Amino acid sequence: MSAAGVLRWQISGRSCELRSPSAAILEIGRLVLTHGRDATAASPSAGERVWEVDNHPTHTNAWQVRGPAADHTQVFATPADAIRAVEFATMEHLLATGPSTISLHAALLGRGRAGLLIVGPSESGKSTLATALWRQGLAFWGDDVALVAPDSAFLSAYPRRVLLRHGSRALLGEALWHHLAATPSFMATSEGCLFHPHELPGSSLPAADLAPAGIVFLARRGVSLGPAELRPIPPAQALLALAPYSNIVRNEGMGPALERLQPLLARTPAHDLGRAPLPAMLAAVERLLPRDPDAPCAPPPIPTSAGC
Amino acid sequence: MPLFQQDPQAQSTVVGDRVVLLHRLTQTTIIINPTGSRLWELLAEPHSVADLAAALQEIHEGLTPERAGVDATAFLDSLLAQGLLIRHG
Repeated sequence: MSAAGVLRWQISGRSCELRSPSAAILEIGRLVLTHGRDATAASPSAGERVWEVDNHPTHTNAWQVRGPAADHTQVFATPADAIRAVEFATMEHLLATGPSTISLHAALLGRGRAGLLIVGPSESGKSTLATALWRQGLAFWGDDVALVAPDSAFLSAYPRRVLLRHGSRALLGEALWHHLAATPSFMATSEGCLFHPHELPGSSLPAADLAPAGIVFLARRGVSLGPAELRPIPPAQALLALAPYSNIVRNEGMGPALERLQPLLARTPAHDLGRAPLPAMLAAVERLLPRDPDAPCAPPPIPTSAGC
Repeated sequence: MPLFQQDPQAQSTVVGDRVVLLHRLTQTTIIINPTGSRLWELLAEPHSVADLAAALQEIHEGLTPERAGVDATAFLDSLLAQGLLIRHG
């Protein structure tokens, strides 16, 4: 590799590094990976995960991505695709190896400092509901992944661009879609698009430490509900229902998942929501969130678990 | 008189007023109510059906010894069926 520039950033306390001689690669990386902030001085030491992106030695107009530890190589046609590979691989590594990282396959929205999770199987309407809530004024922090702090159970946006599927475009409306397309980190994909919500005018940096205000389950197996019916789920049942949506089940099994999700379910009301025309579902969900977006959301004491 | 005790493969997680029990090998799960949760705590050490029946009578005033025995037996049977208890003797 010819003389390389370096980009450094941190994710959940773990340092990452991107090396490339290409100014284009580094600029896209700066927007996508570090949210536009200059992170070259984030750590004087080498990154824990190091990626190298360079022109492919034999393929013209192609980019080679190596990393980490030069044990994995991929080739891409554009700098944006190369950076996307780094972005996604970094997230996969975080979820697979971060001992304290808890992620949920869920949409995350917020009002002020309160966070709302929407959980459901594929085709349950999760993305549609999340997008509609966003149109209604909630902050949109993720369509498919949210992070949970291990002790406080506070919620955070997944440190990656939001993935919005084509199916949500009609609901968003062309005006908002064009706003998204004009943001610096926007990237069209086969599934829809990637973007950073904080790059929209009037928005702020990704949400961190949202107090969990509610968990909404869609299409939970074995549950029959009336249209837009919002039915409370007992915490123990909600824990069993939520665990399969966590990375912990995949990486460590059901036992650790139950233990580590317990703080979240001990403090967060969960509800099943019946399918209905969107306005009725939106009205039902609105009742779960505090009206005052600036209301302090200090976490209540978390009861200790008396397990065997 | 047989005694019963929590199986080492059983994991319990308290959520609200319920306990989620998980058998680590079979991955089966059940949720037990507050009364069952208190009996489960007792079963950290070996106890007999009579011990559990007596505990039930302390929890629920007016519960007859006969009814307490039936309920304690049913509770133990359900946990044994899930492999969550071991039986001594």
